[in-house]
Amino acid sequence: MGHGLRIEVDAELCIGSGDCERLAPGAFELVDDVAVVRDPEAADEETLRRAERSCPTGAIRVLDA
Amino acid sequence: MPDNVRSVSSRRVVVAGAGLAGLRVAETLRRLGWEDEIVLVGEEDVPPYDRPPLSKDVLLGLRDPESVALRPRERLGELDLDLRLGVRATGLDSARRELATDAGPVGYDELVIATGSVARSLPLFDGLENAMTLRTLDEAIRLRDDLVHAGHVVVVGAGFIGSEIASAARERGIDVTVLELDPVPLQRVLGAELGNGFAALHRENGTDLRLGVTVERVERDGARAGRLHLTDGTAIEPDLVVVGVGAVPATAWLEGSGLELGNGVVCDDRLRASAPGVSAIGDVCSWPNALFGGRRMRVEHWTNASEQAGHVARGLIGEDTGPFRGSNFVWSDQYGVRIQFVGVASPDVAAVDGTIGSAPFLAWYREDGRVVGALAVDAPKLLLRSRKAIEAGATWEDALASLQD
Repeated sequence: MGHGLRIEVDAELCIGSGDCERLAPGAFELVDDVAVVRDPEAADEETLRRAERSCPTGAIRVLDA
Repeated sequence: MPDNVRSVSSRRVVVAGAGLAGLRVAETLRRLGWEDEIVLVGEEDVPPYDRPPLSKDVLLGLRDPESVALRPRERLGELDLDLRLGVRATGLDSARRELATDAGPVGYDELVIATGSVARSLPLFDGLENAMTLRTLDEAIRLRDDLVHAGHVVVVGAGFIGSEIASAARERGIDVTVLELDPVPLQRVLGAELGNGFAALHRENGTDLRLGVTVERVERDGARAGRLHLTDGTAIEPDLVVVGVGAVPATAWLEGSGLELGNGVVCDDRLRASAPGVSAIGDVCSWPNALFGGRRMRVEHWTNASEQAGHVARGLIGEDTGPFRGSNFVWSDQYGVRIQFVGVASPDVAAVDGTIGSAPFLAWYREDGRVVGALAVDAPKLLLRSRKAIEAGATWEDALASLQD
């Protein structure tokens, strides 16, 4: 059973740092230097929260379902 | 094909420097359909890696050093690059269009210089086993390991990197003294008024911040730094010293090449250097920034490296890119607080949202009636609006109105 969390990426804020994809490769993917959400269940909650914190522009929000 | 022979039917791009900027040029070229050779030359014998985590999560032991690689090996292979790691650029013959390296000359049709910057060291600490700078992946791993057993760390310099190192050490429960020569931290980036807020941030988190002071003399204990004598007459005795006093552009290898140098590689507004077929990007590039009236600058931040790389790559493909306008975005994580800055600082600064010393907070810098810079603390959406206003050259009033939307 997964954590059931949702992820939102604000594409306007995203600067294509790619940190999210490096930390949680199945959950995020950079397409033309903008992060796109793939499968939130591909990473555990702690990893998703780290990706959220590490985003340089605060573009990522990890939310309850 | 031998390195000194170039086909007439294809063009070879050589990128000197395999950091973020260098890799981004290669990625952008491939994405835009460049099919010819791309040679990427990097001094360090590791694939291109991301630098910001080195002074943050890597120091805290929260991230594996392998995880800072900008592209995992398989995806690096997809770019079909001629990747030459552990190869140092040593000179340039722009007439013959050859990059000199310690592994022999590499001929180019187009050369992009992306050799970045080098941490400035202080001669007082040269050769001492327990003193270091932090710039490379190797240094981050070493510092992370040294922090495990350290009881007292002295950080020389309260800039972004020094402050992040102090923050990481404090988070590990280590006693930290930060020595800053200026009367206020981050004064050169943020100005005196806002820098004060960051002095408080250090102190609230238990860092012993000493302003207007630096090291005058080091008592050596064999090959280690023992007691440090400061310019205010006091003395401290740390286990470890980290020097964070800025960086210098990596242009020593270009001395004598004839390329115009001066606080970096001197470029025009399209990032072209003074020799044909040569551009420079990232930390090493000095250029007149069209966004700020052609003011010449050199920017050592992540977004600049990435954006300049994209700009030059599009120019190489044949796009008419125009002058490079850079808004100089930078971020820093200190003591759990997210600091963001965009634009340029000016003496005329005012709080726009919140009060200095508490978060969230936004301040703007004004010049000639326009907003030219913004500092945000834990206010990412406001910073984005500020960035847009600055990039649009908005007047102060119009920019303020845009915050309300």
